Amino acid sequence: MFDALTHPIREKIIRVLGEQGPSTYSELMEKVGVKETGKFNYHLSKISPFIEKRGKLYSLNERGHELYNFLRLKEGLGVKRVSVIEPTRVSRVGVIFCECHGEVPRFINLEELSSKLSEVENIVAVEVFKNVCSPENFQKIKKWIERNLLDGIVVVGCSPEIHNGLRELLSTIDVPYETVNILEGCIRINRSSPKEAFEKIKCMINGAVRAVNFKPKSSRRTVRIPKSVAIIGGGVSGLIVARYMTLMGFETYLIERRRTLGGRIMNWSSVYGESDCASCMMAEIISSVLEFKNLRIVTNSEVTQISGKIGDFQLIVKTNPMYVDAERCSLCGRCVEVCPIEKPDERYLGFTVRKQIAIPLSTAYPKAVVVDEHDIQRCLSCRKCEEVCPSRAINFDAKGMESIYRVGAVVIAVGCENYSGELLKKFKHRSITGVITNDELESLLSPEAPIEEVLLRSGKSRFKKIAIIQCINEIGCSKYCCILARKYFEILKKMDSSMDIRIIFEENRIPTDAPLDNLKGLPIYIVKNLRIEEGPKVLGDEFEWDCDLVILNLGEDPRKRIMELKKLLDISTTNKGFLNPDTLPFGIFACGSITGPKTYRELIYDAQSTALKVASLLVKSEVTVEEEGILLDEGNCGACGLCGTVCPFNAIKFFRDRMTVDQFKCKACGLCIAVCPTSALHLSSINEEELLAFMDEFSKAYFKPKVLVLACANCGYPAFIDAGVKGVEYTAKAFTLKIPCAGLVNSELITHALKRGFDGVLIAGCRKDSCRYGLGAELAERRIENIQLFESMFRNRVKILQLSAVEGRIFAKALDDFVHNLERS
Amino acid sequence: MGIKSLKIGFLQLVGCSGCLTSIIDSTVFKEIWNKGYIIFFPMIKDGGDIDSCDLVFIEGSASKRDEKLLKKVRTKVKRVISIGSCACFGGISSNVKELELKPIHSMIEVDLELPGCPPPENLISTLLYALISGKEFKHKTVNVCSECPFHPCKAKYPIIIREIFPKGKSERCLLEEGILCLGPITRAGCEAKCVVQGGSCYGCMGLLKSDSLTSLVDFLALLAIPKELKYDVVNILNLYGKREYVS
Repeated sequence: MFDALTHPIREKIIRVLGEQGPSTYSELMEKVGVKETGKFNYHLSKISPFIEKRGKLYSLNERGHELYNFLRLKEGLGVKRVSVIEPTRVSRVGVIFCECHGEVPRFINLEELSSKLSEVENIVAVEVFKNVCSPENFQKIKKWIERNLLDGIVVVGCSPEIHNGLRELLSTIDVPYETVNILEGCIRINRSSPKEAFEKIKCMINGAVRAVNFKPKSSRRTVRIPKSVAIIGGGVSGLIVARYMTLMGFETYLIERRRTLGGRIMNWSSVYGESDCASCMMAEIISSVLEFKNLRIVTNSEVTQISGKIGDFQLIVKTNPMYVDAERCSLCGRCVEVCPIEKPDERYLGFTVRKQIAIPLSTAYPKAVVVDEHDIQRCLSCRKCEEVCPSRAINFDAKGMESIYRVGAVVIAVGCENYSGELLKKFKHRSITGVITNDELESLLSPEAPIEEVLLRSGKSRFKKIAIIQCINEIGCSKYCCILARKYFEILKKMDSSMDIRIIFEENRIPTDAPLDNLKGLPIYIVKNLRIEEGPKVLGDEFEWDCDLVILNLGEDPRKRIMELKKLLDISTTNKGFLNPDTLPFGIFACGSITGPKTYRELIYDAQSTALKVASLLVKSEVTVEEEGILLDEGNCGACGLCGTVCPFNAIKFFRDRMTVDQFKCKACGLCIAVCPTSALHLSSINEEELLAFMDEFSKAYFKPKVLVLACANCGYPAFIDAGVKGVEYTAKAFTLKIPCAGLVNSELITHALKRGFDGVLIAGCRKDSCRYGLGAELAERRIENIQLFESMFRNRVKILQLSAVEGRIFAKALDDFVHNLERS
Repeated sequence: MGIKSLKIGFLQLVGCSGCLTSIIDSTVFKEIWNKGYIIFFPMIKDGGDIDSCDLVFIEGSASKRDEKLLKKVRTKVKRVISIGSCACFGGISSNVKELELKPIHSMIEVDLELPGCPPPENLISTLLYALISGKEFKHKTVNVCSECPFHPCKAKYPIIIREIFPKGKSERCLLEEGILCLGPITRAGCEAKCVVQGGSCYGCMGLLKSDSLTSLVDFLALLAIPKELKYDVVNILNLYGKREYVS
């Protein structure tokens, strides 16, 4: 390895391949900046163990990627590390007061406050503005900062969360700053207790003046976004997204694994509640995208690698050989005529036969005859169709190829598979004649289906009694098998109104959230110990029914797709095993059934909203990425891995005997900080010192009881602001601090607060089921439960509040009650 | 060595002599023994006057009867060092409820503490060497996991605990296997001896964070402990007493 890295050119080659993905020989040479081929060949041979060559493309192999990661580590790109958090040592702090349209001076005496503040150490300038958010003041403020040689400022006024003007101002300032929200955070909520409010504001400003010492400089980065998108999966969701992306004029690549577009729904007879048949509907969607020049459809292809980051994603796509040129094929059918090889037609359960080369559904795209990949060996020895084809569209020597797409966004719409697990065996699928899945029923329902053939094989004269067995899946509720049951019921009844159709549930497997309303008025049977025997016969406790056909109504099975995705991307799954779209890196989106079971309508809406999300990213020519994240103090890290157990984004990894933080995945929620037993992790946006500085100053307020509110940035803090906006009056004895997530609060932080003289700590977080980071609210709750178990002192002094962002009144009332309780005890 | 002559005494209170034995085992001990620094050591050297010592090491936890002796030692001796888990935070001996045994630092001020049951040999040597050469002794700031060959834990929250004691030698992180291990919150220094030899870590080296309660609570919040094991877990947490010590 050291041999490979001793020369800058070799290092550069590895770096170029790692950063920009595979490239050809000449491209690579140009990027590395070497002109002589001999020299280049020499260096290339030196690093050959790290490089592989596929066709004309050079790329890194597994060892090469490891080496590239090592290089990134070496220079700290992507992985930040610090030895100790050092204060930025701000010595000249300026305080800006905003009158907020006169609301502030009406309530407090700003002159008195300013004179008190100028005594505070470090404050060198205090300035009052009528309205800091008006753009004409921006230049003035900048000049004021320069003139006073300030290296830190504190803006006292409203909250940047809801006032765009202030946010805009802050984005132009390049010195560390803190904001003190006295408008919504004090004035509007403490009108009736001006004395305490004055004290509170003083403490809040002092806290900010101290905390600005620890505030890191903002690390914003601007990234250009290419106006292109790759959609993986050409099913319903993928097609809908593709349709909207092309409509909006973005360069779109639609990558489908199968030979034809459409996905699972193409096999269906109809979609319940829609007027048209399924394949016609899909044909319409497909034809609607085909007219656009900015769409490129790549069928018969698989994505083998996704790399890069926001602004530049690279996908390596492997296209399998097509054998039939879709542009030349006219579907004349000569090839099918001459084909001597017959095989069972899987479309009709193998009851009929078809030729090895076959004409696909008339609605399929691309329109060309198809040969299955696994049949190709036999075709190679025959090749009759190749000769007869009038347009020479068939070529069995065709080779697959590999291509790279560079895009600004990626949409994962790979869908799910039909369930194919253990339950099928339990219910004797195919092992007893007459037990079929709903997927197989769908093809039998098509008018051309060889229904006589099926009847003949099963020894029945007519299908009279049909049992539909529900919930054949292991994910809980598939959301649509109730609707499907109704569809089958109605279609079958239409065919023959004397049919006896029963919908059967197994008692212990009915999910609690099943939409049983869809089955209103139909014959439902709930059976214990359901099983199926020869006949077919449906059996259960106190239930026995001889029938002609048993239909197993399948749900979805995400396991295989998730396994495949895990090779491409580091993804996390929901508790039911589906892809969790919220944890994907910025710029990668997911929709469709891979993110959870959905009905047809839900799929469409999901795809549309995803298209909107992608578009809102792609319409911008550049985006600003705030590089906040987690800093790892390696000297204190024992590599125990506890941080990894809670990270919702799998951003913390064990690499070369140390823990590393992947800054592109990290969303700075801080869950890992709270669990780190050695305090080796720090947030770059708010570090612990900053919080402690605030706490120190807050605790100097004279009133009692004093309460510290730790409010999560997603629900608790917005609720606090909401109370201020609504003008709800409540206790002045509470100080609110904003933290990224309630999961950041551990018992250490609480103990810090109590030791500093706070009488109570209230944690305002999201509801447990709506925590943005999944675990945050739950972890905070468990910690507080535990701490109260161990130490009675905490019992009445620590409380957790779970609320949503608009529940300002509830927040105010809970805080009032809390303070009231503390006063009494 | 920096200091020309030094008088060192070793005291034993309620303890098992394990720590003293470990001290005898250490390499630096032989050196200072040969130099004649040691004037008092239970069973080895008797008769010396403990009041004249510069340094006194104390093994074992203290009962009420020892208070008088300890206070006398404190007034006469420059530096008092408690050694071993019993002296630092009560240790195993503190589980005998009837005796009401307490850590040394709850009775007198202690200058330095070296926990461990017994303290690892290399740490004793470093400490002894630091003391006689006038250098500063620093505790490690990382956890046992850093020395454990099976780190890191790759489980996902919640870490489900199925057993208290490991059944056999394992090549994986114990927490991953569902076995209670206090390694992540325990100070390093022991080279994870227990885990390497097929045991589990019960935290004899003391907790990393200065406040024993907080790190325990935060760690326990990550675990899913079935009801029937809760009693056993509490026993393990109390095994060495409250693991707070002066560092």
